[in-house]
Amino acid sequence: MKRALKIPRRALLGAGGAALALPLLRSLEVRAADPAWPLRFVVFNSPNGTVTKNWFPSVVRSEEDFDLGKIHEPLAPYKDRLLLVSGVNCHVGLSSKGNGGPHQRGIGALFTGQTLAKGEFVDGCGSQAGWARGPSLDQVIAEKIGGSSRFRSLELGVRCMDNDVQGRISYSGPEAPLPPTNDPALLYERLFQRTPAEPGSGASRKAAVLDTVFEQFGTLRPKLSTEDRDKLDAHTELVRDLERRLGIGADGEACLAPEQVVGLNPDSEVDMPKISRAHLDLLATAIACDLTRVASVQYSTGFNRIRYPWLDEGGEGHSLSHSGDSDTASWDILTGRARWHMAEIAYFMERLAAIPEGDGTALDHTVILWGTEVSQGNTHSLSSIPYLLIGDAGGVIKTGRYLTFEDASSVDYLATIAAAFDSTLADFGDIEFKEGLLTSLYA
Amino acid sequence: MQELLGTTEDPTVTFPEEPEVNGFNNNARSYAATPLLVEQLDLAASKLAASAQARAFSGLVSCEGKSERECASDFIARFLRRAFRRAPSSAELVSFETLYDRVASGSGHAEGLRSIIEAALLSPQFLYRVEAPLVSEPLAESRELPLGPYELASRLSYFLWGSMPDELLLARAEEGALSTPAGIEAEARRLLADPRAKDRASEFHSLWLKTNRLPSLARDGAPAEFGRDLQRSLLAFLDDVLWAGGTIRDLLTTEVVYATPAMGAFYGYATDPSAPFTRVVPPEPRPGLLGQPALLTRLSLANQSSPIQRGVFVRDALLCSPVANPPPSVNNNPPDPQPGLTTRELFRVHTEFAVCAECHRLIDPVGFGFEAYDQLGRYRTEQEGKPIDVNGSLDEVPDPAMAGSYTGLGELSERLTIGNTVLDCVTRKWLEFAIARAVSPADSCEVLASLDGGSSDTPLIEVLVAITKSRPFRMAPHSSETTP
Repeated sequence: MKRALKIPRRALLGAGGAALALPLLRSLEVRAADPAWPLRFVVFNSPNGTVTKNWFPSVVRSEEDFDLGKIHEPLAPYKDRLLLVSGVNCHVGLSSKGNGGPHQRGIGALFTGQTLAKGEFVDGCGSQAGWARGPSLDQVIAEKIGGSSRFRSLELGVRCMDNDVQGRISYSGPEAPLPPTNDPALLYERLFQRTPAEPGSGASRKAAVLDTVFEQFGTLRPKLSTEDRDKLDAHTELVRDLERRLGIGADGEACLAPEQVVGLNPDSEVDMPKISRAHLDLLATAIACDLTRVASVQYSTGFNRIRYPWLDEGGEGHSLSHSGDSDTASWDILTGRARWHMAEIAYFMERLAAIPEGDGTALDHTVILWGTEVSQGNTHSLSSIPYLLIGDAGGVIKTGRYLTFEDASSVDYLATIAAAFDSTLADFGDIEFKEGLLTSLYA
Repeated sequence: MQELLGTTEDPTVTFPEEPEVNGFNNNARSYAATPLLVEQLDLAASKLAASAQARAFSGLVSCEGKSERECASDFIARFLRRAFRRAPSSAELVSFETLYDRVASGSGHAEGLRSIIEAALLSPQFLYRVEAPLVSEPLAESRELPLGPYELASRLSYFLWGSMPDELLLARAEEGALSTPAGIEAEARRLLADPRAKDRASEFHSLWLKTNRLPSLARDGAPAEFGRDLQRSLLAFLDDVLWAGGTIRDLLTTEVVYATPAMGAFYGYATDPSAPFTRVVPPEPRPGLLGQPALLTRLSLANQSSPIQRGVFVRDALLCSPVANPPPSVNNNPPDPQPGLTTRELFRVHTEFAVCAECHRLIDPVGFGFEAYDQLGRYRTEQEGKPIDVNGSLDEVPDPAMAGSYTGLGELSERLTIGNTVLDCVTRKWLEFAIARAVSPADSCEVLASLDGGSSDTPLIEVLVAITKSRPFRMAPHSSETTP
């Protein structure tokens, strides 16, 4: 059974003239960019690289005429929406600039195009690094397309339990990672049980509470060192942002809250597939309700040791991915796991395709980017990173193709995607590794 | 929350994990608020305030013989004192009374009280530990400032309980009892006698030895869910050593395993099936901490033991004498096991290439002494048909008296009890846990000075008491620090 959400479109806190004017202007801006429907952007990550020979197209007759590799078979119904690339290299991770081992460098740069700061996170073999030195693609795009949705972005984790550089893919700024929500029950609560403060006494009570809280922030501030003051100011700003967001409701014709999924253990390998589906259902609904327009979904952490007991009895992923090239049994298992991740994306696309928007569906207005932190586990290679792009960003990107590059920088690749949303984002990533946009991605 | 609101609800279980720095997750510098955390804090504060209201504020507010307004003022003064771990300022009292008046005038007394709780739980004075020093200028020739009595009370309770001071500790702080080392010691011993100190010590042990990694580790040949048994077993061993007045010598040489029934079946120990643990004296050598099946399992790869991880562990966690990182260009994938080769032979490359040997000569020979235990800590005397070679060597260590070649884990463990090197290292780890910042060798040296330098026969519990009386614990760096 599904129930419709009855939440007022806008319940503004302390609605004065200026407060009313702002959301109006914002929605006009969005409308100017896209007359009908907002664009959405979702990044996916799963760990330990892929199986290169089954990832890239098996037969290539031309840029537009090729057979999908074994791993991409679950996405076959959507082949004309895919853009595959080879030769996009992680120059950031390959350079001597920055810190960390290959898994750390790879995941740090995967969606940020940045090197890693100095730090004390230790990878399996003793290399040390800190967080990435800049914001991730999803976050800079969210700044541009987030509009008036309640959540600027959602970060979701499927058994992504480590809070270190390998457990984060989204960054709001330099060395500012965003933690994911791992429990679908919690995600449900965040999305659907926090209804906007009701106008009237409820809203004014909360406003009174927060007034006192802001006073408390004010009295503490002068007593702090500069460094601590910056932290406190950032915290204050986040509370102000929360106050604003609590006034925004859910909206949309297809906005039906699903049943809440409870009782899944976010740290159980057995529950992983159920958690994935519950997350993706909720994310599709959040998009339908315009609660968010941007999300990241991370499956476990880089250099992980997870098993996939619902698929195979192959043991843990990291050692398996280190198998020698002739160990075909191991590579078959890894191929099966990589296919599973693609099938999850296909499922998500199916859900989006069921949300009618104008003449099309939400899928037509969504761009998905999948990536993994090394190309193949047994080489730890940071060359030819297997990125997969899905969706045309309102006709900007030309999909249904397989593009091969000689030696393109992944920073340019990411910036090209960012600029498809907003041309001012062309400067995305560490400038040291940029040569220019990969305009062949565009229509 | 239990201390403050008398509830067993724990809304923090859904909070995002905090980053670990040097193995500890309470480092003040690495902490930063994120949108998700702020949202979760708000949700938790709303829920806790609402549930206090649903219980009619029982145990929190008593209005007998008072007007509602008087009763609210009373509650504000008492609640803020507890929530902020100090006496509230008059400006703070006015601010919360104004909040009460604003809400109560429209929605009534109970809504007013609920709003007070919610606002207090969202205030930075509750969420952060503010360590404002007693005086505003550093003492002559010092970059540090003594902490005030309330700040010291918080340090004590967060160090030993992981929670806020109780009524008694706040009262002691107020009456000035924490201004002398003897006064601090008395309170430290009182807190250590409370069951909360046991949980807190387990938290330290978990972080120090990274036991929380155990449940999710995959090891070839492991029974299902075995990691949790191992984790509990290791913590039980450490618990026993600490609380029975044990020393570094006990920690490193006691041949005991706390075996769960599943472990009994796996390692071949007779265990009581109805008890969570059976205290087993194993037939094979199991010297102290290093012989614990859980630790040996954690310091392994999925399909083989790891002399590297074991050697690095001794240097990092016990000697505080870490080896530099491998250069980024090195392919540091461990080699897969190969038929006919022992693990020691597999890692020969480390000594064959000078560039690797530079550091690995300080790591591998420490780890080779562990080779009698496989990736699940099972004892073995041969591998691939060849007898196990447990000869190793401990070189370039802080105390030259420890250095030199040895045979087997028992001799290595004995060697580590020489002098006070391991005690000093463990003290440093405890101190870092206690004051939530990186510490220097000088800091731990100061702690041990009050124990005459300490040795492997110093009871570990005395180290905890000595920490609370030490200069690093009683002082704050000049620019005041906040800690979540």
